[in-house]
Amino acid sequence: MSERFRIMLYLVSALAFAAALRAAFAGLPDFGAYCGAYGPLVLESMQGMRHAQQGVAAVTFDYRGFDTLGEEFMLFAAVAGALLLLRRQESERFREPKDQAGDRAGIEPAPAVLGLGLLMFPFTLLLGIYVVLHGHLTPGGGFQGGVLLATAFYYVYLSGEYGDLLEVAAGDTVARFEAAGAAGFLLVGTVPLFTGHRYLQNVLPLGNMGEPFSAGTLPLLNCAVGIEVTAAFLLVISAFLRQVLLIRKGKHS
Amino acid sequence: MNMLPFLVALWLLLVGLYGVSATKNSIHLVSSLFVAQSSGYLLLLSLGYLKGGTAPILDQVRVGSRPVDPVVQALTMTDIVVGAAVSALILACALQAFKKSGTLDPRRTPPMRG
Amino acid sequence: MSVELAPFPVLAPLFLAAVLAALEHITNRHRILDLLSLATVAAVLVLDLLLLKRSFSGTVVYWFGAWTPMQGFPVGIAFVVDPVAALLALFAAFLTAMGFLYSWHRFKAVGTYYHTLMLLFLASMQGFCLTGDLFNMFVFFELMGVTAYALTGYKIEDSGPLEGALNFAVMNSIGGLMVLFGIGLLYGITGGLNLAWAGAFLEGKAGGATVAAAFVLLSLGFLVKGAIVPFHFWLPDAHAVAPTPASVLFSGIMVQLGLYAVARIYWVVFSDALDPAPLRLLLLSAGAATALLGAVMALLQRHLKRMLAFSTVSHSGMMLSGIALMDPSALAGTLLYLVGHGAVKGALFVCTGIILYHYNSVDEETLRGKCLPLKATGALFCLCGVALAGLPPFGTWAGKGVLEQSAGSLGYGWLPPLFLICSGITGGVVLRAGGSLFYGVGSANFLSSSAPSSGKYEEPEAFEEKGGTPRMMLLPLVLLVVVAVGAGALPQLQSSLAEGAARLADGKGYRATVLKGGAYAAAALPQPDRPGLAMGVAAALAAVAVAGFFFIPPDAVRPLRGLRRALEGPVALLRSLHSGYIGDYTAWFLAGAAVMTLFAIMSQ
Repeated sequence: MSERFRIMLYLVSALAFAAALRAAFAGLPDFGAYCGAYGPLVLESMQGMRHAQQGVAAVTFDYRGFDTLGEEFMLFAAVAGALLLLRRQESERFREPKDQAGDRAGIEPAPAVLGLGLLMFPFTLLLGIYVVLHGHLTPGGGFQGGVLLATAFYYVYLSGEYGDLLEVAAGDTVARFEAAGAAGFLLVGTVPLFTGHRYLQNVLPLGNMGEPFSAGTLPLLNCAVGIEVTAAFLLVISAFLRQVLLIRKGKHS
Repeated sequence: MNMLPFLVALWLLLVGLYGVSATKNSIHLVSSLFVAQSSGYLLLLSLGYLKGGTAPILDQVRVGSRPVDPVVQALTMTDIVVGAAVSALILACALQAFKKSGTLDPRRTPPMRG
Repeated sequence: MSVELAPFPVLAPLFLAAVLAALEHITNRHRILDLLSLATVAAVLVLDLLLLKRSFSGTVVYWFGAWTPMQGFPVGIAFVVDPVAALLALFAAFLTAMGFLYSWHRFKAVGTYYHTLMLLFLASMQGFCLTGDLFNMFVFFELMGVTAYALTGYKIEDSGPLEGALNFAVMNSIGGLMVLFGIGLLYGITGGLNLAWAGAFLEGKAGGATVAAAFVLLSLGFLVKGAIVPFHFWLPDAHAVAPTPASVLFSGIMVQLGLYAVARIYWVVFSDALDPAPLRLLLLSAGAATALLGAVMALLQRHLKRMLAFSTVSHSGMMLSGIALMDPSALAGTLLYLVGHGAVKGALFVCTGIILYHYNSVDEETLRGKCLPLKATGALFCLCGVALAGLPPFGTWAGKGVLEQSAGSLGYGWLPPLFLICSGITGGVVLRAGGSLFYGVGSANFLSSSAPSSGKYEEPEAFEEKGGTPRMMLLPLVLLVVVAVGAGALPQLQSSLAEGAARLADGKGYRATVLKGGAYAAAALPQPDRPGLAMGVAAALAAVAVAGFFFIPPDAVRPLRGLRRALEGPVALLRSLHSGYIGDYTAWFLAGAAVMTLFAIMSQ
């Protein structure tokens, strides 16, 4: 199909599709005037039934916790898939990471970069842990905190210590953490089954609203997701870095 | 009636798909797809919005305002994870394909056609 | 206290997927991973069988987290297991088991998450079948997608799989986005995500543009998965390059699950809100076009797996036509056809896997007459060719027969001849390939020998061993053929599917069971008539005739030369449409989406 025909086909179809959807949107409630039953029911019931104050976390990990299980495993599948696609091929070899410029022997990160990395690493780590642990109280949660935690390790790479990062992620420790995070969520959900309850039912003590140990399983599930997401992003980042830095064509150097 | 956010979502969808349709580079393809994906977030979030509403965190709700729908926010988060997962895979494919053919242009004679 | 089984078909493979991922780094893992995954699939098979048995005495509704409806509103997620859901889940588990048997001990690059991904794929199919929640359906749709893209790109040594995975991922993500838009519209109108709730909310209300658009957007996403014209382009690119076990699953059940989703949301949510006549026309024309185009494109291939992939497109179109009739007995026929087709197509993909194992090629021209030593595989391959066309007593015959009977009684007398043509062609090309590969008949023909994708040299996917075909590769082949025969020969399956289809098509009953609880009151159905033999035999004969046409030496008959010249133009056009370029596919997608949405909105 020629470039021109394709673009014309696209534009004409886009116009028609837009007209159709414009007509469909007319039947939706006005922006800002939504009155569905779902949200209010959750917000009314979660305080009494779950001692939870954060609506999004309550929906994510309790009311619709099963969706989140699928979501967590989607990330898990993406990591497995990315590692499958980014494996070293038989025609490739590993080599030492070294500077592409010929006149430099090794890579010396500038002191400012190194210093900033050293500074940012612990703070980002702490912020990530905070966001994960308070996921059921304040904005954030396992997914957001996990991404922050992975970012902390990304600072290690940015400050030039990518050897360290690759070392951390190359072993099977991170992969085991990832599997443990994913399986942990699933297993927390099975605990109620032994007492004759439903899967993912929130049967732990509910505590006092607003405290770190409250809302039953919510903090636990947040931690499981946090571990999974951190490990998942570390694995993906290091897989891509390995491709760029270490893997080259040819059998042996 | 006010449906501007929905129309912006539609615009994002069509612009993103335009990028996919006219793409000459796999990295550009992923970025365009992500633009299209973001239309979904906007549609869901603006559906649940309440005029003058606040975040659905009950200890922080101001007097006289109502919290917005938390459900659509949870759905949006799921969708963001979907986007991240798909992007990682497409980028991995693009990287390996680049190593094979030395180009990121998906228009090069593809092995599977006809 | 009886244990509730409903969540375990999803939980078991998910858990084992995580465990196997943690075991990736141990040495000597081949055997352990194979054994653990086969045991998991076996467990899922048993669970699905039990669920199926239970679902016949009453639909199983399982509320996760014990979030039963609050003030009549479902705030949680429910699994709703009725016979059709359980049966499809069972069939998915069966095909996964066949895939694992095929890859037993021999698969290359096993250390890189092959088992984990296959188990995740199984879990996502289970969840997709069993769930009664729209957004949960979307989650499993995407999980199925993510694992499937990765499996498609499995052979990274070739560029074909990478391109195939890329096209697959982009098209299905766009489809997923359409599903999300549909969910958004439906949530805006009804305020709920539970299928039964949304259906109950819409019941008896005037449909209107928004509801019609919600249905079409949801369907669009699922029809991308179902490879319906003009959203089918990704399928041959992906199925042709995926490793054999993944191809078996993709063509045997994944594509059909997209169609199942359309049927499910139509009956549960929209059947009492929208005018069925225009929707029937819309889906029926899309299905018929898909059936024809897929069959014609299958004729033009020499790459065996690509030919089978286009044949899947064609059969998917036939199944959509069956669903589009929006009639319980046609639905029953379609479901029976789904099982029969899945088993036969799976067997054919296993055959090509065996050919690939021995010759590192899946090219009809290169391999002509070279596969003579594979006696058993050759015989079964040709048998599957006539089975694909619908020879009695295969499941394809029974399903198509039931479908054709109800199409006739509903006044769609043109459907049976269309099916005859498509079955004849898709069965005929398999026979053509079988004849030339295993018996050396025929020579390069003017339609397929010019195909740009040849599959001449393919990367091997398994470690080779001395001796003939490994028994563990032949075992799934035989089992699949047995199931294909059983699906047609056993009248019990037909009558259970008739009951299942009647319950799937009873939207009101489904909604009441989910929202109000209580057992499903099934109306007693009369024993359905067995389909006649004539159409099946005719389709098989048509397949033999198609194959025979290609075995005529090219220069022996004068009129053939004229035909060849006349067809050159259209063939070139069809080939250029399937360009392999994702930009073209997206433009076609939007064109199809625009036509379908506009039509549905204007007609409601």
